Amino acid sequence: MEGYPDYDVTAKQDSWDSKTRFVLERRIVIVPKLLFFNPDEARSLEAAVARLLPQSRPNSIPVVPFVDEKLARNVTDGTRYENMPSMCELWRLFVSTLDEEARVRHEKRFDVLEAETQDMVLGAILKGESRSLPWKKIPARLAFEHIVSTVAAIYYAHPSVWSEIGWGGPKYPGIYVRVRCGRKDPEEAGEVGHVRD
Amino acid sequence: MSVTNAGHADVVIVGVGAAGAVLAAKLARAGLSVVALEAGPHRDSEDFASDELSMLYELFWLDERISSGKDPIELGWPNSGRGVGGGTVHFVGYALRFHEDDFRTKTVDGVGEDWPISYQDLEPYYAEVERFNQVSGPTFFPWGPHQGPFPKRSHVSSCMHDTFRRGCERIGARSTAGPMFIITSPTKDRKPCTYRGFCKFGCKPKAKSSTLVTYVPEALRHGATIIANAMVTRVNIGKTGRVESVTYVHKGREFEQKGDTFILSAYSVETVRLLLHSTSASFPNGLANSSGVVGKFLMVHSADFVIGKYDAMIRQYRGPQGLALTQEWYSRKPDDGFVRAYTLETETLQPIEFSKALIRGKGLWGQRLVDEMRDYNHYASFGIVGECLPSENNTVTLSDELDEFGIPRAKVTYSYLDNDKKIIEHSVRKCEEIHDAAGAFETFQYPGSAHLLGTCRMGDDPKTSVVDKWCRTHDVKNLYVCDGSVFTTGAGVNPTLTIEALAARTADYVVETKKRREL
Repeated sequence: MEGYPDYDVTAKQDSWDSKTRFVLERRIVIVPKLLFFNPDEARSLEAAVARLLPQSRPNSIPVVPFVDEKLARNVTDGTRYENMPSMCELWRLFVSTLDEEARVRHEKRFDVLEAETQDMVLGAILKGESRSLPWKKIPARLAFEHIVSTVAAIYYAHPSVWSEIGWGGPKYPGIYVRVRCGRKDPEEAGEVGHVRD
Repeated sequence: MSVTNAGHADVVIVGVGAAGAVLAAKLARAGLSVVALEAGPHRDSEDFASDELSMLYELFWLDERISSGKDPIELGWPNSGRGVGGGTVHFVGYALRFHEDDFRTKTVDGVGEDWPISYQDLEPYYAEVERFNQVSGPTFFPWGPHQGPFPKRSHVSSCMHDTFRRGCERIGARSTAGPMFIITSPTKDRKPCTYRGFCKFGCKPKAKSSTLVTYVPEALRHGATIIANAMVTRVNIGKTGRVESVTYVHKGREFEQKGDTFILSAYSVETVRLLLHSTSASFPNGLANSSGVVGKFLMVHSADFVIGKYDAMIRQYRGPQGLALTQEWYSRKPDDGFVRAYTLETETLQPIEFSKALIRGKGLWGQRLVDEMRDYNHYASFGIVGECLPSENNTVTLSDELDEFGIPRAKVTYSYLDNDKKIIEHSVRKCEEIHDAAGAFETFQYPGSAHLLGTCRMGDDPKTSVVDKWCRTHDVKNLYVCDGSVFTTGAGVNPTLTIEALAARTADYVVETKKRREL
């Protein structure tokens, strides 16, 4: 299971329908300006996102601007669990907890900590073992899962990441033909180190 | 704000999803004037993007609801649609009938409540909606009262569905390609399935029989008026104790729609919110709520995924999202330690949903999450549809917080009962066995629930139920509730086929009563 170095899902983009091309081009080209987070908050969140979903590519795929856009427009997910603050409050609380925790434990801002130390801080926040009182009052794991899921939804919506995981990509009006086990259509990703599909 | 008179119709329907669209089509076809109001937009299937993220924020009811209880449920994504077609625009499309015993759990198993109707009452309507939707299915369906035939042949099975069936075979369990709301041969207006696994995110080729591409065009053909982006905010009762009109907001303006007969088909949260919010001197506890059970007996299906990792490439993005199933353990009896029913089904997860499964099911984040996502193509996802028994303590109520229309936000309270938990335990174990037998080297569970049922339950006794066996409210003669909320119990199957069958039956009844009055 060594990945798909030769696979580029966007190589097929001429065959995608126009609506899908429009949506994906926008996503790649237009990075929203920050409206919700202030620069300090954005810096801390950038640092956290880099640990929640580490990217090993030369140009990182932007995630925080899309989180910011979701919050600025208050695009909710349909569920607010009891004892949980509103989505916007939750994200502000998460960011302030990052810095508060880093300061109390290490007397530094979160973003200047070593990666390993950042992970320890995130781990404590996940388990509700943070020293931040407001964070202690909410269901920590549920809140943390919301944060990570939101970040992951944005990240795994980027075509470069689709190539990385060998996903087939938008398929319309095209059609998958060889769908049985052990078979694949020629344009689907072949995995290095995998002899048979 | 001044209220604009929007006119009068024989029948006014609130919500154009699985039930509302069937009602609109059949009532209009019978010659009645029909106005159907839908809170969301009326989309063209061509406008769907082949993109998971944008569709996740497009097709679902994402206004905030407050979720509480011991097992608080996720309300947006798995459950409610917004827009013409409702939840059928994003359902997986299993078209399963209830079994005979599912209508009489109290008599047979001593739990839940008996429906006031039997399988035989609904049978002709199951057949009718299967035919109209051109359900595709196997030559022989091994369980329950209906073994086929189905209007169209089954789909080609892709690797993940085959993997499930191979596992079933190895443990000696029968399995089948399920009856699906997905056509297997194209028609003039509808293209074939492209096997791209986007059933839950808007079917561009219109191969999936959402009501958006089946009953809605039929309703329009017969002259029904469907008003999209029309959020109904109140049901207005007249001096005679009958519903006179509904108030709705459309493009920032308020309208009043009058009518003879009103049908709420807004599903188990919004229908309840509307009834409880529409109080008046004669209905201080909410409309049609003299029993006090409006909003009570909420049921879901346990819908945990069991996800297995394989050496071989599964590529779960291909194929219809659901196809293979088994009901080998459908009817459990006291000797099993629990009663009632579940179905095991395949359901593919596209990358974003799969990342959520890893985050919530395995607790992953950081490098481990990235690494497991790289192995996406090696995972197969099986799911359960477990029956949950009705309980008075599982409820939809109004919170203190108002939404943008000034209606109190819904508060949904849910806790599994003991029997529900045993069903989850048993069915998850069976999924693990199937994965093991099929060659998975590890599995994990991703808990969840789906479907919202039961908050306006059907029954003969006006003291313990909201609607009668025709979905007419006991309290208000010209008000019907027809959607998943009338379910007395939930069975162990996906509810859409039954919702549509109930709607088809209610439509016939409404037409009949109108005719009788004319005579």
